[in-house]
Amino acid sequence: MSEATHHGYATYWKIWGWLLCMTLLALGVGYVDAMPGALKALLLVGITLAKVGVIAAFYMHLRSEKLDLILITFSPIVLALILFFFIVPDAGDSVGREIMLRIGP
Amino acid sequence: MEATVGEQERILASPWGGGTNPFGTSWGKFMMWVFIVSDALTFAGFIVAYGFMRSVAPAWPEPDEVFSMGLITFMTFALISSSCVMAIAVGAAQQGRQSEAVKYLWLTILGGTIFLGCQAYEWSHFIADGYRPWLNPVMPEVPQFPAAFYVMTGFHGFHVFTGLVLLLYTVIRAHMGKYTGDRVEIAGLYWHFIDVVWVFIFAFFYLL
Repeated sequence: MSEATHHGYATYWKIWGWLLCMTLLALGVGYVDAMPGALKALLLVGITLAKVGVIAAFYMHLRSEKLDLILITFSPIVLALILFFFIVPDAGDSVGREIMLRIGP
Repeated sequence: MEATVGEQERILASPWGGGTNPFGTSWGKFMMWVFIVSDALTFAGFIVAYGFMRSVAPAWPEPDEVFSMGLITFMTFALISSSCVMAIAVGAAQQGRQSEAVKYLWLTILGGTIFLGCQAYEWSHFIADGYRPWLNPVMPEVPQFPAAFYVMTGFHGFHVFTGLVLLLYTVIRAHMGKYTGDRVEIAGLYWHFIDVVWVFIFAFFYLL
């Protein structure tokens, strides 16, 4: 047994391995041209959230924090989703294009 | 009077009364979490704005035709690896093995420096190719593409730079024996957050 394993670092290396696997998986998904855009986006969002969850839980030790703190850290994702679904419907109509033309060069 | 004292004790004992620690962390660690949450909202704003710009754009360049995906994957590898050694540095510091913590902190700094170096290389090529914010020489109809690139990777790169400064300060203090467990963990939280932001940028900007 290596020294690192003795000190309980094995979990961190295991998580590192998982993160690399998920990165390669995301790369693979990104390269499949035949995949419908919506499915690709869904898979990439899923892999990304899994990676973020693993980093937060194990590297940032959120899994040993109180539930109150864990809930607070998730608020930006909830707020980002609200923001996204409030503004993206505008992209489909003339209002969105008008905005882009105005902020363009 | 006694009733007032009793009342005060009851309030101080409750989790939200201010008497006990509602989040069960040190104030420094909690402040870092508050900063991370607010900073995450900044990046959430960028990513949502990018999503909007992209859905309004008439077309969008294929990322692997513009960027070297090998380089981007290597940068991701460097950052994830630096996050792993940072976690080990925090573990060592928490268990009181200070010299080991210092060693792993230096490895983290190495990973971050490699990442930043690659990003500088990527930016220099992008600039040399004629890309400016709101000026796309290859696909003129999507000027928002370089703008999104510069803002998102630029802000992230600035965070990596700030993280490296914080890590350098931490490693020096740790070497002097001044920064132990909790302080190293606070620096670690910021570093992992940088990794988390990159995970989002990597997926949404480079792969989607």
